[in-house]
Amino acid sequence: MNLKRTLTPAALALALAFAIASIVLVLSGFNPLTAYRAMWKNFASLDGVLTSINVGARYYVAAVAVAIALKMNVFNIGTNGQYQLAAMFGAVTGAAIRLPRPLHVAITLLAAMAAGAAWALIIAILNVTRQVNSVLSGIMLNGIGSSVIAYLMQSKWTNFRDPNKLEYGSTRPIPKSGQLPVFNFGGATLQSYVFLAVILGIGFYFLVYRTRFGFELRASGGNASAARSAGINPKRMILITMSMSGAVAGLIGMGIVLSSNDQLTYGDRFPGTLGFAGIGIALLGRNHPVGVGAAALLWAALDQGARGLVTVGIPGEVAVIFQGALLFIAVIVYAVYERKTLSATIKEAAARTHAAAQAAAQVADQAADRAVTP
Amino acid sequence: MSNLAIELRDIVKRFPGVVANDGVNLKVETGTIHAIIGENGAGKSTLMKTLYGAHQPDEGTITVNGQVKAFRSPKDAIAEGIGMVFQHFMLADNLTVWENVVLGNEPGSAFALNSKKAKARIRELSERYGLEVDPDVLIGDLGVGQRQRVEILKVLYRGARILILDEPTAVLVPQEVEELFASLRELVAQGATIIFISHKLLEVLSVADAITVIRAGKTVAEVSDPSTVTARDLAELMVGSELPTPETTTSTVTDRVMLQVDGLDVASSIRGAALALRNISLRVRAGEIVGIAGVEGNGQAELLEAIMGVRPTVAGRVQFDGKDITRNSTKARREMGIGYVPEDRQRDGLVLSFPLWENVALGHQGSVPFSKGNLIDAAGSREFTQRIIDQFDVRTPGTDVAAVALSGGNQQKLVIGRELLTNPKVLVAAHPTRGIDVGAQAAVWDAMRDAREAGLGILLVSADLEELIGLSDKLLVLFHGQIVAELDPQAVNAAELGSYMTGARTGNAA
Repeated sequence: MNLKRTLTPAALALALAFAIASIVLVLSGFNPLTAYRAMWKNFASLDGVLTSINVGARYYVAAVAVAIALKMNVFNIGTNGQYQLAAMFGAVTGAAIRLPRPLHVAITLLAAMAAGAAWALIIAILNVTRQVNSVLSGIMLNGIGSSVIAYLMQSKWTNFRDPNKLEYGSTRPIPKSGQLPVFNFGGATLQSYVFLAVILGIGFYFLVYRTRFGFELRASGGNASAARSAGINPKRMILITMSMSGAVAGLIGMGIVLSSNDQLTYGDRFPGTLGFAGIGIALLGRNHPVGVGAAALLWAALDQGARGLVTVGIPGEVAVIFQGALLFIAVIVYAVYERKTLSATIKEAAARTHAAAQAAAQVADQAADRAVTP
Repeated sequence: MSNLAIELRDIVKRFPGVVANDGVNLKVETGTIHAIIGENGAGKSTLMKTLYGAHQPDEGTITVNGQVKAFRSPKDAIAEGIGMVFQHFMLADNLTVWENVVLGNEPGSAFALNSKKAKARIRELSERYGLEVDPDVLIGDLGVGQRQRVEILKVLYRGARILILDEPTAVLVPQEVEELFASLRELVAQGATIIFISHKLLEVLSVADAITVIRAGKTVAEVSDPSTVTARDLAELMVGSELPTPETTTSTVTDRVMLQVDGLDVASSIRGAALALRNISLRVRAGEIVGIAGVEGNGQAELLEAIMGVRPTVAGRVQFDGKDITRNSTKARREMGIGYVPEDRQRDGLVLSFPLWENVALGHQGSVPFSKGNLIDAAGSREFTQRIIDQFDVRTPGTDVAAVALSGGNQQKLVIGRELLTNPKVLVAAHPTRGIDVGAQAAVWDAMRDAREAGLGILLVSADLEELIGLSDKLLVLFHGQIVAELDPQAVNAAELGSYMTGARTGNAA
């Protein structure tokens, strides 16, 4: 029943998004069927699917970072800045140290998480001590983050910028022992970063739904005032949650930095909007570990399909329209559906309450009857 | 009888598996205040929803001013001049009175709002019915009583001549109740008809011209002359059995001071205003119930919040069982064994979107049976929740229902049960029986008495003076943030207590 409640609105949103994208295609003079066939063709191969999974893993991590904070009603819009700074610091750390494989990777990842957490903590501290709106400071810190990166990536800082790369800015290469393994399937590759994302998802579920901390997190999000009366310190919660969100955000770009079939460095060609994509995907997946996973894979599959559109002369932006429409509709459909479910729950509870009351009254009546009849 | 405003005949309303209304009859004469009383779940709300067009009856007829009507929606009901004033206000704080009143029914064209016309109409209505509401004030600046008058204005503005008020006094302090009743009488004098839903029997008796009692979906009595019945008669009709009283038996007060407050000052939440509490000192001993009497808004909420550590203090000291806890966190205070029933259960006591079992764990999430180590123990919490449901007669389909699905009274029972059954050493409680029905009230009183006997110290804030006098071992009167009197509940009656509460009398009487 619960599954049905989750899947029905998602399927509905998907169908409506398809309809809108089709209309846009028709209005632009393209045949939607041609477009969808080209997208499918580019996706439906081992390489297409594995690439979608690799990219989906990044999206998933990006969405989980946002979802953790949203569970307590805090919007971490700053993941975009957090993951880029973290990727740079992670890449610099990975290039600077020499350790055996698992330790090298672990320390590189921890450095990235620490950088992400530190950048997110600024938002939390400003909010807790000076009541600065976390959306505003998040957006500003995204901008400041870019400037910090640009400053550190100047050629005079050779610890950060690789002096051997002249054509574009990049960190120094990470030695083999610091790389995440990549599995090769006849040319198509699967990054082990994907497993990291899965473990993160399981950890997220466990933390939020099974632990006391997760309970306090959700209680703060559900009703901050009641949480306070229940002994949950709201400031402490914001500080911890934001650091956790930032630490996870720190991992968003690390698949790219550490997988040898990708970039292996942080540099000018690093993707710059994964954090924003994560916000949409968290929304689409309703902040639930499984829902977000499905949404991340769908998002990545659409990306992958879009690359096939050029072969039939249709602009790849159609996929972006599709993604945008999907997000927009999903938010509306979820809200409507939630209201419906809520009123159904209330009605059901009221009806069952009546049933109980009437049964009790009947028992009382019978008892009274028995009492008067000798 | 041709002057009936409303006549409901043999109304039957079924929900899947239940009959909520099973042949209800109701006759309301034009220009009268007609009260409908019954326990929670008796079918009052279902009946009013039928009358208001929120749903259609399965059987029976609705006659309005002599004509049989079928309402398909509340719009139809409003068109017939029937308006509903809900218990929970639906007003936007950041809009003014007149903007709230016209919302959804704005005068003027699609592009221009005719504010002059709206304000003039509101002034006229408010003057005619003695509602005394200034259309230009922000809702956020109004008190509860005034907000309620705005709700009434909203309904009148839409042309209602028959007003349904759902438990209108539940949120009001005694003086506001008086003001409301004066307005209601004025409305009736001007020819309006009022249907008044309540389970506060004394209030019903003081204001109603006629009373209909509903029990288990059926009309069990119609009282055409309220002066012939007592509150006790009505209550027995409602419950169908003998009634409990709040009296405690012999004193169980010990000499062990469990909660001690010395010279406590608390700042007002309004910036620049005077202190909300000044130099408060009190002691609650094990086995003692100390009642705090006072008109609402005289510092009760601040006192409880300061004791719980939710609100910072300016000066003074709070001690629990001899330990200074002034600097301790709310969490630490709760873990020591201070239970808390906040004044506003929906705002401070529950997470409405959480299932009942999670709500029961709330505030006790660090202790058995709600958690094991750092993990939440769902099974243990569900079991505990079931105990509360059984003992306090919480009407719910189960432990996994979201708290939002429960009626206010049942939510209250859940909160009380949670705080009483978790074995606190001190209970800080505001209005423990507000809004709950007679049967459950008895269960709450019983549980409080039992806990007191077992050595619990209770600081009790209540607006129900009978409850305060009946349960307390000692009464303190709070007025303008100060304790102005310490009274012996054995030697004081409700009227005397009332005069202390309004500041008319001060000093310590025996």
